[in-house]
Amino acid sequence: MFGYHNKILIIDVSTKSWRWEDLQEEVVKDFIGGSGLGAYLLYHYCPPGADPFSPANPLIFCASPLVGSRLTTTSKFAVVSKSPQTGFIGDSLSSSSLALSIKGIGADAVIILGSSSQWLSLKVDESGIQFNDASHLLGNTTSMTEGHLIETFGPGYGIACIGPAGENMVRFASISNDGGRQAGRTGNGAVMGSKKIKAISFKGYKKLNYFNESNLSKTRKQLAIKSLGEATEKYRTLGTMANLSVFERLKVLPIGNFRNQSNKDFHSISGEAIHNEEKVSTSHCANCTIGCEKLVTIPNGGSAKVRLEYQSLFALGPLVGISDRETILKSSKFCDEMGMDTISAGSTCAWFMECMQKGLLPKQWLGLLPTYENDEDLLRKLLNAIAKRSGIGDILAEGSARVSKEIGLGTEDFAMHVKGLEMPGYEPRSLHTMALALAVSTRGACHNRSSAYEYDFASSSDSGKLSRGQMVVDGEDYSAVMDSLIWCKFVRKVFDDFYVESSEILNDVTGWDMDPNQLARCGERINNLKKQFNIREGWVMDQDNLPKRIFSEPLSDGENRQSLSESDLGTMIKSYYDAREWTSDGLIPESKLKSLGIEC
Amino acid sequence: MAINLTVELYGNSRIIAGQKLVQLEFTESKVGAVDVIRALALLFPALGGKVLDSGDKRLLSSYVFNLNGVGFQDPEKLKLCDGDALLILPSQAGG
Ligand code: SF4
Repeated sequence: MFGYHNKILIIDVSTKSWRWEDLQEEVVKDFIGGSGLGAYLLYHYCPPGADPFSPANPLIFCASPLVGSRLTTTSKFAVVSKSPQTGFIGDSLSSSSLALSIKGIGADAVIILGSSSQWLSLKVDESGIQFNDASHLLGNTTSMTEGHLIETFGPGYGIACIGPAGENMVRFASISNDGGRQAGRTGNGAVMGSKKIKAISFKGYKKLNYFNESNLSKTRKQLAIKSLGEATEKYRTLGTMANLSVFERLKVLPIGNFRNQSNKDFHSISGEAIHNEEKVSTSHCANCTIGCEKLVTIPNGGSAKVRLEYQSLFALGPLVGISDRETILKSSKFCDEMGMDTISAGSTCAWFMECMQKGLLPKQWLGLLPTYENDEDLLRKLLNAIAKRSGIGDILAEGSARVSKEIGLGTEDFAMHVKGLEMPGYEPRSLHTMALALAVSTRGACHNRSSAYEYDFASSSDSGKLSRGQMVVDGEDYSAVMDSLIWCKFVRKVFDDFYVESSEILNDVTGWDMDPNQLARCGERINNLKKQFNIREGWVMDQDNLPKRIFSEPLSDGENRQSLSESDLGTMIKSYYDAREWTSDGLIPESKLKSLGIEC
Repeated sequence: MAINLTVELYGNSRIIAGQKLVQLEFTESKVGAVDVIRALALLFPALGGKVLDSGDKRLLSSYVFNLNGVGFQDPEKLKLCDGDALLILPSQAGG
């Protein structure tokens, strides 16, 4: 098969053994790679009902057919496991040379099973796999760990590692690679920690053949040129930081744990202000021509730089009611170094701070609180305590959903999560298509598996006559194909006709004869399988929902009132289930599964 | 009657122009997108090719108009009234 190795590497850290299994062509024709292949492998390798922290939960790294093709933005991989935050499918994407290294060892996917009794650092290369003792790396930050391993093994290794948060199984711990890029959401770093794996280093240069190299070579050049055009201007100039001032002006920037009452001005943390007033450099993932990554030198932080994204800026700033730039930059850097998802970390702190303000904390917790001078100081101390699971941090490391359920007192109503995954920086009371996408997403309150906000930000003539349900379905299926091929989302507007161009490229890579409709059907199949996994793991319809605050506290701005009622959301969810051809309870009929070729 | 507009600049348009807000005054009774773009191109020639196409009098596809922070507008349908705030925003929302 062109474009694939047809191989999966399965490593069992309990027995320190490994084996290779064949990857069938029918599977990748249906699920492609990346997040789609990861969903397929999770369904088949994770026993029903497995505890996310049990040895049985597989931790899956998936490359894709485009990894290694040198097409712009395609050096990406997916990490998939059963999420310790949601108990459902957990998948996150990350980028750069680690994707090339995983594929370079001759694997389309690597599945890690079992759990070790001692901390391990795995080294995977052409000589085989070494299960090295990692006790000397414990407590190291992600950059220290990566630096140490590069120094020990020499150049050429792609390294996935966890920081102290992953070691301590903070439920929203991330996996770090390539100098601070994060597979951030859904707690895959905690799963890696539960297996006692501090790091995995991959090195390999196995070559792949492509079916039509001469077409690919032309496409490579064309896409590289187009990727530097109008369609990516925002990402190249300010990166995703540009969202902050726009969202604040449009009143879709959630502030103060979604209470949106603040007399603070967030101008000083806008992308424009940071660009003008701080030292900002641009960085690229491997094989990317766009370069959306903005590295900001931290004021009073020596030469330390933070890779700054809108979601981190939002979650460690406005969401916790903080507008001090230095605090936000340092907190974002701290989360990356500890290996924690900034959205869940910020959101859990925001919930906690609101509980404090309302006097809702259990008495026995008050003794666990650090002393602090102001909100900025409190945020820093809470993040530190969470990463180390010390004092109050041991409780908050469970995430806002679990902790609020434990203390009750109505605090669940303002724990801003869906299915256990904390909400990103999009205001659902104003952005109703996004509200639906957040409610129904299989991975919880997800910021980038639907691009549904695009409909909310479009003029009415652009949105056409689609129902909101259909809009979200289309966005999810499109995203599933992007995340499986894998293209970076930021290249999406470069295509004139995404499915036509992507199917041609996939055919040039593989020699298949897939038409655009079949490719779109892959997206539908992947999303149905993800949902079927969740159903198997106990999903019930009530979990397609939003936090109570969204319904009970409308946003009001003089005459402008933005709201979303529970019944409006219910109507949209029904239109989504209809568009998916699911039952009115959100279940997938047998006939639907069959028509998609999903065998369960 | 003159039409006074506030144009709010976001993203690279703000960085290039070096300011957040631009006040424009038109003596015509009907003002549309083309008029705003022409005025901005005169005031900030560096926006040409980066934010707007001064020849075709249009925003580049990487930017969109929003009227008064409420509705996203097709440029050809844009009817501006005295006191309006016209926002020029980066069109790529993701992140
Ligand atoms: S656009 Fe940004 S995130 Fe995407 S591949 Fe390029 S540098 Fe990486």
